[in-house]
Amino acid sequence: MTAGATARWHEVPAPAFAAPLAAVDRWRAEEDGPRTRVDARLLVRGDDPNLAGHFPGFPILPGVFLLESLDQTVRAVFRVMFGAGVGLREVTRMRFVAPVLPGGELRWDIRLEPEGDEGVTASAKAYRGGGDAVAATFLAVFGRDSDA
Amino acid sequence: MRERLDHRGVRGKLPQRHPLLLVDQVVELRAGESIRTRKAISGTEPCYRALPDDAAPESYAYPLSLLVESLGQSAALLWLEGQGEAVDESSALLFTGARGLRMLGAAYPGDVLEHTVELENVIAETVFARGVSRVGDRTVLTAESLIAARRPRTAMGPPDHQDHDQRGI
Amino acid sequence: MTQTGNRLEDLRKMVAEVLEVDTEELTDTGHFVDDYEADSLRAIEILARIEKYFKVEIPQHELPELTNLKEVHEALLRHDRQG
Repeated sequence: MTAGATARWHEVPAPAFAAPLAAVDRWRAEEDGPRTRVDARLLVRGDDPNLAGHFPGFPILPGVFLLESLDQTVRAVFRVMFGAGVGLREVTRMRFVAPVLPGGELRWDIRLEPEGDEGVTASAKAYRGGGDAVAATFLAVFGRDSDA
Repeated sequence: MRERLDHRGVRGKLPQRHPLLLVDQVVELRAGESIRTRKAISGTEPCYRALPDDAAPESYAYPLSLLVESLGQSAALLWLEGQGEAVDESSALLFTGARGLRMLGAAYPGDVLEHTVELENVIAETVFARGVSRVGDRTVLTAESLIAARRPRTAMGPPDHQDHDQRGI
Repeated sequence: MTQTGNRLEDLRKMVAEVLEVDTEELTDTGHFVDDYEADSLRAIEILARIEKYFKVEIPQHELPELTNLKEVHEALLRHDRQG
């Protein structure tokens, strides 16, 4: 089953914070008890100016942009669903399995689980090229912004 | 032997270019052991271009993805010392993952990041290192383990090319 | 004896983390590749972490033999004695 297949899509506005790119286009989410399952998408654009330098004549989405995409997605989901500001505190592990090339759509399967009082653990897989090929896996911890 | 590299020297070693070449200089390199590098953060960088004027003060924090990339490029400069080119005709050095990255603070335009990376071990063309990023005496990021591997360029084919031996969780 | 037992459990926890499975799921003889979908990089990571946390160096030519927890544990004991 695709995460949140019955939930509606939310378009993500341009980031209101310093960012190398708008790293998520849209997401939808479904609550499952204390957990939240998120499906998010990003079209990897060939005209992204970052790719001119990564690498010249050999464009590959930098692996850290998947981390950026995960961060922007979780921040967007929290803002809309829980009216809360969150930020990345720790990446327990991240693993880049296969490179992401421009032209395809990146698809996220993210499971958010409460961790302690203020935190949330994100267990995530990114799939590339619109298919079932895993591009990367993450386990990360987000915390509530202190002023939120 | 200790070595320093100016930005020209950094360009000679790393394949990344503007806007993703994220190391300005190598302050000290001990081959096979450790490296110290610097990266100055400026408000003219592309990541600040679209920031609205009414953005909150913390919105000016340098993006963590670029912070990690800058630390990772510092690690690559250490690994590449005496190990050939980052990308050659048949292979490329790829960042394959990390463990235990802790975001402990933020860096802003005007700050100079100083990264320190220590090599832990090299096993079967796979390198492991730990790193710290500081601004002055303030630690902003620590990495328990940064992992990179030399991989054949054929493994980087188009998206329909699947790597059957590489599965996720 | 107790020390060896504890070390096996420490090792199980470490290997489970690398393979991204629950500690309880990782059996002594479960095959890393066939049962836990590991790739060659995982085995390399296990070696690197053993070197870091147990301060024991297992030569990389033994990598092909390290296909389950029992074999990794035996290699750890063998090379610890040599060190």
